[in-house]
Amino acid sequence: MLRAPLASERITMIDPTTGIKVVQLTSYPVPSWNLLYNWPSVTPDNRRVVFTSQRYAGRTAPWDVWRCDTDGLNLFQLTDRGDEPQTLPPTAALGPDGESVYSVWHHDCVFCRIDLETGRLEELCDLMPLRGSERASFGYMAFSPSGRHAFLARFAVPVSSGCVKIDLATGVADTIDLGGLFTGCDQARGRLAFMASPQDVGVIERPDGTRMLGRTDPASSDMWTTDEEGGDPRFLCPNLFAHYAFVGKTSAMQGCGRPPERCIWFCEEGKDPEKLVQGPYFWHSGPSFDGEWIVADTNWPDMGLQLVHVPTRHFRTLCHPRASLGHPQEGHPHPSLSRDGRVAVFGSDRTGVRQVYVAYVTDEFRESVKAGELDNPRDKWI
Amino acid sequence: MLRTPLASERITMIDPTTRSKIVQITSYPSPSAHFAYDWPGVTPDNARVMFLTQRWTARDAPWDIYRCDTDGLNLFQLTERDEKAGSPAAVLSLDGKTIYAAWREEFILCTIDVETGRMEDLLDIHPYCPEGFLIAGLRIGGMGKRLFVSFLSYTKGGGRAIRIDLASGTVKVYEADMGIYGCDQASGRVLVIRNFQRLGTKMSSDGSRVYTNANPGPMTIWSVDEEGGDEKYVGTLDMFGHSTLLGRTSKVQGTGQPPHRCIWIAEAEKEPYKLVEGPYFWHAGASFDGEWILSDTNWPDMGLQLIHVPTRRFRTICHARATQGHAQFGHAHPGLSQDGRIGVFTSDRTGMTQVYLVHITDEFRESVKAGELDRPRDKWI
Repeated sequence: MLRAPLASERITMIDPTTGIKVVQLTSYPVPSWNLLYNWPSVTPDNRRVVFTSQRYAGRTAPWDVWRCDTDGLNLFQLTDRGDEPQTLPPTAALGPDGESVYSVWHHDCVFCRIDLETGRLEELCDLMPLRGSERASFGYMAFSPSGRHAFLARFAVPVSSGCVKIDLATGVADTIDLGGLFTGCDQARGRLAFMASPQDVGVIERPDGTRMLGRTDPASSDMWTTDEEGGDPRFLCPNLFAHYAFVGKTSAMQGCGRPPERCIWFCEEGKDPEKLVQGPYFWHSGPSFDGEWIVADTNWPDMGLQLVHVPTRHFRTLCHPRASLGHPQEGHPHPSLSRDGRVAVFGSDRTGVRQVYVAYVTDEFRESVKAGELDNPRDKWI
Repeated sequence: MLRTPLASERITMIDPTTRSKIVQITSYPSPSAHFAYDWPGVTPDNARVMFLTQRWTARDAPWDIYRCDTDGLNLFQLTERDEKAGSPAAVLSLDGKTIYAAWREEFILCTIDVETGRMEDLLDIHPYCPEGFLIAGLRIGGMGKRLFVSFLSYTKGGGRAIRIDLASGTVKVYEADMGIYGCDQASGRVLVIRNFQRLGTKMSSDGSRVYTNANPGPMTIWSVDEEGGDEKYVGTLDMFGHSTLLGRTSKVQGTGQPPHRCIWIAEAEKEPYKLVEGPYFWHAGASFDGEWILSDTNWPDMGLQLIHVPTRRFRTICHARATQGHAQFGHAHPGLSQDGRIGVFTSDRTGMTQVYLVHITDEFRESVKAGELDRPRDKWI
């Protein structure tokens, strides 16, 4: 489907402390979510952004895929798939050519291609038989460097293991046993990353008596890579990350450190992990394709979105999402960058309902990051 | 239908900088919005306010008509049209006893009794609506005896209109290009829009696009007799950001477009003039006697301004704190009751568009006339 353009919901604002222009793309009070930060959700020409939105406000309301121009006009609903209760948005990603969206809804596990221009939906393959267990689902989509294949992590109980590989030309899907949880595809070499011995997550009690979700298994886990068939395993790095993603089209992996570290780790095969930058507690981080820029949200305390320049290791506050930053995922900004790093996409529930926002990264701002400028207003020399 | 009174959703507050009493009429988290600000949605006795509420929270959810007492009690749902009916154009009768409404996907003109919620279908208006046009608004004319329905097209440009005699049900179809701007309650004439805009986009200086009128000529306002003849030029619609008739007078009042930061007054065959200048006034509604105007402000938001027309003085009555972006549900769109003592506005300050009232006291009106500045002002000069 393609619902003809809905009235623009844009709200334009200037971040009051950084001067960066932010456009709220959605404002109708149903939850709208930006796509995962491991891969750009903005088309290569920076013209459109893809996201998901609930059809109505309800914890199990269905989720649809939407697009909007990055300046906030031309808001289109692309899909209207099923009325079944859905507890999570579909796993969706903008295809490598920027002309299709690939999506799998958790209730029917059918892998679909959606034409970004027309909204035409094509069912490519049924992944239900590949789930392995009844409670398994598919997430964390990645693509091969050639754009021929898509990969999806298979999240299962009790153990998440391996991934499915889908031929986007033929719709043929196979499972690949990685011996761990799929964590991405190296865009330089085509190698698949996985987390060996993924941690068991359970409830742990803290000193103040409150409970939190946390790691219950003290054993360490590591990041490994394999070839596209699951062979030739090679050690990449220890799993130091709270959240992680490959650094754009490079073979390096970056991610936010876990407490007590307050850093972004930068890891490459055969090298010791490095702390790329240190300072606030970086929380979730997404890179540009050339690996030159990373945008990260921060927490405990919230210090806004930080734009990191990888070569100089300098960073500066881009804007403040003012999200609730609590337990629910809808309160996490999960920022990502466009391919060229000039458009940042994030979510925020600052209005009480999660909405999708973009921030424009100007040349002037990029230069100020490289130069190591502090945040504005700074009207004193030192 | 009349759904027996729902639990009050009232939240009473005092504006922290003006001390005006505000009553949030709706607070359930589905969008609510008051009737269009060009005509009072409050009954003549100031006892009740009419508004719209979405039945559930979804972009395409149907809109129902509600009423509530202006103190926030007695919240009633009056209608429950089909789920595919969309949103209605609705207007409250002069005596405040009847609502005329037409849901935009149904094209049925109906009446709703404000007291009982009893609904009657009056007329199928679909045959009168050209392809590509939508129901833009309902206007009450002829001292409450006639109803004008305006159809506009944002994709093609232009307008069409019909007039319905409410006693006999006879329909007059206007063949000319005209949308109904409003009914001049003083003279019985009708103000019409010619060359209604076709929406296009233009690039703003920062590279983002904004909507604009893609038609080559300007939109214009004319005063005509009830048959559409005896045209008298009022002005261009493009001089206004938003505008309405000045209550029951023959004048048009409206907010200026940039670079003007004013409220214009225009009248047939007279030069328009700036009533007040100051902040960027955005949308403005008037009291029936034409003595008061209530306007929101934007870029920057300086709150709702109450303007006293004879003295040309104004003062901040309260702060709507709406998001004021592109989406209509983030605009305050303030309107006044017939006597100008109740201001009605919407705000999405909570994240959800809700309906609010501000009670305008005699003391505050006198302070506007006297040219008082806003509080706190604890210094002589």
